[in-house]
This record gives sequence, structure tokens and C-alpha cells, in this order.
Amino acid sequence: MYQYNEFDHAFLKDRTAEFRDQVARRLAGELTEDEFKPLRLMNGLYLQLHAYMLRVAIPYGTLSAKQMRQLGMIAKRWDRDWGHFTTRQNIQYNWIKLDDVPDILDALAEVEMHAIQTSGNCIRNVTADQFAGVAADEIEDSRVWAEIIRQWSTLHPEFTFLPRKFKIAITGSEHDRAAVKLHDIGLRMRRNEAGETGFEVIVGGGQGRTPIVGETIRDFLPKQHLLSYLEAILRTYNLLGRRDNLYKARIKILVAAVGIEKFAEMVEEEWLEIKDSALALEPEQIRAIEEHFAPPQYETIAEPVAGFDAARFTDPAFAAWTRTNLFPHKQPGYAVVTVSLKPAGGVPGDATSAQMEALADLAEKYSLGELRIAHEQNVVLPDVRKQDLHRLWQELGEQGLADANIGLITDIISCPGLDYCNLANARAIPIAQRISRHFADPALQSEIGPITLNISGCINACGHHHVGNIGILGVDKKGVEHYQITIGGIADENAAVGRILGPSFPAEEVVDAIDTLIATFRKIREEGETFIDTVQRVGIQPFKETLYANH
Amino acid sequence: MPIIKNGRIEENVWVPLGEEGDGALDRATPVLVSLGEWKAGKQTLMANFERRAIRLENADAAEEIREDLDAIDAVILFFPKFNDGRAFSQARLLRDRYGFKGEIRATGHVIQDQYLFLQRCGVDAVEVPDENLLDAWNRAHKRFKGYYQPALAVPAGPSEDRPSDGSVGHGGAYSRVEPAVLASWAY
Ligand code: HEM
Ligand code: SF4
Repeated sequence: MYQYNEFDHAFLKDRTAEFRDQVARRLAGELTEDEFKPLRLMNGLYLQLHAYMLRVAIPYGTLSAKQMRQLGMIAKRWDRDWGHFTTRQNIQYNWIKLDDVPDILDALAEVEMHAIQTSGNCIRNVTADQFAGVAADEIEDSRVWAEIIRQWSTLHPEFTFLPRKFKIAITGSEHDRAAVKLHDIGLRMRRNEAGETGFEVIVGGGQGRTPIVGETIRDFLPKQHLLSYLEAILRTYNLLGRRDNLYKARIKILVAAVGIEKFAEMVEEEWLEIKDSALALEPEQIRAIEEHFAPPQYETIAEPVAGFDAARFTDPAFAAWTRTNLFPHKQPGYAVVTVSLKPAGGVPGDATSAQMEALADLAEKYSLGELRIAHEQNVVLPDVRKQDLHRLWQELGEQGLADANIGLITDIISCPGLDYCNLANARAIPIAQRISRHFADPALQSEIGPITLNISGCINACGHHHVGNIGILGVDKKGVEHYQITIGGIADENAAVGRILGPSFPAEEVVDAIDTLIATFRKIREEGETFIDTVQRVGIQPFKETLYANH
Repeated sequence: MPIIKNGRIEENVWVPLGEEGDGALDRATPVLVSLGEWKAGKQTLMANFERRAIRLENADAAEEIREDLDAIDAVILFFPKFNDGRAFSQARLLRDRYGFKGEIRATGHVIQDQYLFLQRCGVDAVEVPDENLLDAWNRAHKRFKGYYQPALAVPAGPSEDRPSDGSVGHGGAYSRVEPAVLASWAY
């Protein structure tokens, strides 16, 4: 993991002091709310429906046990004993008092964490594949680059007042688990013909009211040029992005307006000017960061691991969990574990202080002290020895964290919706809870197979509804909460935006509607097909017909 | 309105051409023109005035004055709202890319929390509503001791021994910003 040096520590201290001063100026009336707003937003502080909400960055989703424990402590001491993990690898606290924020930032700084740029019109917290560094299918560990980007973008003097928020995601695997095509800039690590690794650069993706799948502007960017290339894109966007209309200010609108070829040309032209400037990364600089992410001392373990196989054989519930919640690890004898934060009827992404503490303990005991946050709002233990899995699973069970539903229909992504958010048109959490209760039966879930179901409380799409295989969007229909349903969305390397099936449904009919879609799928699926396979084969028509048959 | 530059308060000297009309100003008057006025009468302006400043609007491309920078003493960048950040890139291009040595001034709605960012993009003077803000701005100048990314160096803090003779006051030869120096490159 990245360990702060003296500079990082001093920098955070100065930053916290600056914010303490800004809060004091706001409370003294020296700053107008209008002036304070962008400043607090750049420190992750929103004013929500009921209270201030603080969004803390978990850069590229990586956490130490100590950091997780501190997040739990913060929830207990300054919030109502829980936190909410989000689709952008952040944690949100929903009940924060303004006066407490400087102290909370100090508590975060103590464990090398912060809330810098988790909001505001700046380069946001960089997101990454939650399995980076351990996934068997990985080309290279993307955390090194995510950390380099984090540092470069932190209080960047030129790009802190952009036309709009700016999100960067990175993946080091062929299979994209970071939704890189749905970000302002997406980076995919690639190998060129000479065998060197570099980046495919994708721009102009995003969700919100205009969902767009990003396009590639460069197939292969040599690694040492990453920052100059990003700077070229950002400068082009900063100067030319629209500022007259909030909804048209994202880079995707600029790219669409000038065309991808022209945009690529402008970026390349700007890049040629700065390519060999101080932004070019020297091999020693890269190596220095790489050292922070050197693989831990793994044990040499022979596969198959007898104890693991025996436990699977004798304990069917454990076996079911291993089928859904494990991912192949680079190192023989180890597995990557995803801990579900989606119990039946629970709030997707919520964890109590006790659970955070327990996860920290379990990470220390079983996962070399490390954890990750997945954009699907789950927690990952990246380095678990297979012989420990059965015990880990049992201990997770004691905390209500042993659900075997990763990638299944109850592994729902949901934004906070009307329960917390002042932009919402409808509730999202209760819908997620009802759906997860309805499909709680493990046998049924496993029969339905892999599927993503995402819910947003409004068109801003914080819950990624556009790219869920099934997407549910809260809309306001004459003052009544309604839900529009899309199918066909995909968030990985084959990214696609879902299509709307028809008129929206009132809250009480949503579960039935989803049930109908699933029943239709089960009827028409071919052997081995997942939900999305079927949708791609037959289109939306059969689903539309059954869904609106009785209307 | 007063100007904060190099840790001290200065008074604005630039007189907009538009307000007074061409004929009303004498040769020695430091004249301020818009990009449009500059492009329309570059030769005349150079012949009629000893010192010239250009005001760039957010949407103006700094590139447009690239070839003329030797004939310009100051560039005034305008912030309609403090969170409209185009001027940061304009300043960076002027200072870093085009090597402009004169004053780059931020006017309009700017706040002290932006001071370091402005300086690191090459802005060396800001217009403030009130000279009592000098201390606050100077504190903001010293907020961080180092930075994560290479950009322009921040001029040293307020200091008594900085040259203060009028000859290099406005748009003169002061403002020694080294191109792309990194204050502290944390990698
Ligand atoms: C709680 C207060 C929140 C507010 C006020 C808020 C606001 C917004 C707004 C206005 C947008 C649209 C941006 C645009 O299209 O330009 C947006 C998009 C988004 N938000 Fe949130 N959000 C909140 C919480 C969340 C949460 C909890 C998550 C994760 C669960 C999240 C993740 C996202 C994502 C992934 C997008 C789409 C990004 C894109 O368009 O590229 N937000 N949010
Ligand atoms: S999608 Fe809408 S309702 Fe949900 S968190 Fe985002 S802004 Fe709020």
C-alpha cells in the first residue's frame, strides 16, 4: 500500500488547517455561502436533505485495516454509527455537523486519509479495479498509476475550477471492473506489440442525464507520458468546455460537439508541447511508487488446498458462497474475497461501525491487513489463504456479512435517493430493499444467474442505472414517485446504455415488474445464457410485451 | 481598486482606452485595451503609447496575442465568477508556454483561497476590493510548503528587500517566473 512520506503528512495538515480556517470564516460571515460552497465541496462536504454529508475518499478503493477501523470510529463518534460505501469508492457519512468537520479531517489525516476532491468541479477521487494487484487476469497493477494520478491531481492549480466535475477510472485487466468507459477519462492498461505496457485512453464517457459510452482517443500511450497526456486533455477541456449550462458542461458534451477525431487532434497537439516537460515521469519516480505496491510476502501453497475442498464438500452453504464471492488470485493457494454489503432487505453499501471494525480485524487476521472497496458497494479482502476461507466465512457470518450473492440479482447498486439526497425524485433504498427481499432465496438467485440491477433516485445516475442489465430510475410524475425501467445496460469493456421499456411504474408495482422481467427471461433463455445474453439475442421487445401485457 | 503584488499593495495604473477615447490620453498614459481593440489597432497603439496592457476575456484564446507579447506590458485576466477557471489555463499558457515576462493580473471575482493556484499558474498580481485584505492574502500565499505537481514556481513571500522602484512596477521587467520549475515534486 502507499505509505505517506513526510511531505504527504505535512500537506494534509496544511490542508486541514486551511479548511478549519475556511469554516471559521464561514461561521464568522466572512465567506458567503456561495463562496464557501465550492470550498467545502472540494473537501467533500455537501449540504443534504437533513444534514451535512461528508464524502471521504478511498483512493482507488484501497484501505488498510487501520484505516477501516478509523472509518468505523468516525461513524461512531461523529455520525449515527454507520457509513455508506458508494459507487465511486468513497464512504459517505450522512449526519455530520459542520463544526465537527475539521476534527474529522484531522482524524482522517492521522491514518493517511482525506476528503480532498471527493466533490466539486475538480478532478475527483480516482477509481480503479477493486482487484488491482491481485487479480489473476491482470496485465499490470493499476494502483501504481492511480496513486500517481491521485498525487498529480491533488490541488492541481490549473484544474481546480473546471467547468464540471471530472472523473478518472483505471483498470489493469482486459476485463474491465472499473467501468472505465463511463468516466470522463478511462484508462486501460495494454500491452503493445513490443510487449511494453501502456494505456489505452478513453474520453467522454459518463452517465447523468446524457449517458455516453466513452471513445478511445489513443490506443497506446507509453507510461512515462501519462501525466502530460492527462494534462493535455484537461487543459483542452478547461479552455473549451461549456460553462453556460451546467448540464452541458461535462467533457462528453465537448467531445460530442467537436467530434472525437477533432478532439483527439487537439489533445495530441497540446500534448506535443508538454510531452517532454517536467511532467514526463522518470523511471526512478515510477519505481519509487511501484515499491509501495510490491506484492506482500506470500506463502508458497500447493493447489489444491485440501482443507478448502473438504469444507466445500461438507458445507453446502459455504460452497455456495465460494461460487459467488471468490475471485481467482495471482498467487496459488490464495483467493480474493468479496464481502457482500447486500443482505436481503439491507441498504446496499451500508456498514455499521461494528461491521467496519470487524472487517478491519478480519483483514488483519486473514488478508494481510488490506481491504478494498468495490464500485458495486461491497468490501474486498484481497489476500486470503484458501485454507482460511471456511473460518473467515464463519466469522463473517457472525457479523451478518456472509451473503453469497456477489454478481447476483440481490447484489444491487443503489444511490441514497430521497432518503438523504436533496436532488432525488424518488426513494431508491426502499426499492432496493424490497427487491432484495423478494429474490432472497439463494436457489432462485443462482438459477437466475449473473445479472446487475442498479437503482438511481434521479437522472443524475449516481446508482449507475443506465448501465445495469436492469436499471431502475426514480422519476417524479405529478408529485408521485415513479420508476422507469431500462434493460440492456452493461458497465464493463462492452459498455452499453440500457433501453427504456416503456411508461414508468408506481413504487408498489416495481417488484412485480422486475419479477415479470425475470420470469420472461427464464422462459426464453437458452441453455447457459445470462440475462444480458438473452437481451442481446432477442432485444427488448419480448420483455416489453410481457411487462405491459396487462396495462 | 488596489492590487496585491509581491506581498504589497499597489494602485492600478492602467487606463482603459474605451473610457477616455484615444485622443484624450497622452503617450505616457499606461493604456489598457481589449483583445478586439488590440487586433484592430495594434500598430497605432504601439506608436501612440509607451506602455500597453491587454485585457483577455475568458473566452479569448491567449494564443491570439502570442506573437505580440514583446509589445505588451501586462495581461489582465478577468474572472466573471471565481469558479470560472479558464483564466488559470490562460495564465499558464502565457507564462509557461509563450514565455511572457510582464505582469499577469487577475481581476473580477477572485478569492484568497485561490491565491496559490493563481501564482502557480503564473499570475503575479491580483485586484482586491479592499487593502485590508493584504494580510489574509499573504497568509494564503504561504499556506502550502510544497506541491504534488510541477507547475510554475511561486514567487518568494513578501519581503522588505524586494526591488520597489517605480520603473519596474507595472508591467515592467519584474516577475521572474522560471518556466515549469517544481517547488516540491513529491514522487
Ligand atoms: C448524496 C448526495 C449526492 C449528490 C448531491 C449527487 C449529485 C450528483 C449529480 C448532480 C450528478 C450528475 C452529474 C452530471 O451529470 O454532471 C451525479 C452523478 C453521479 N454520482 Fe452522485 N450525488 C450524490 C451521491 C452519490 C452517491 C451516494 C454515489 C454512489 C453511490 C454517487 C455517484 C455518482 C455517479 C457514479 C455519478 C455518474 C457519474 C457520471 O455522470 O459520469 N453520487 N451525482
Ligand atoms: S442519483 Fe439523484 S437521488 Fe441518487 S444520489 Fe444521485 S443525485 Fe441523489
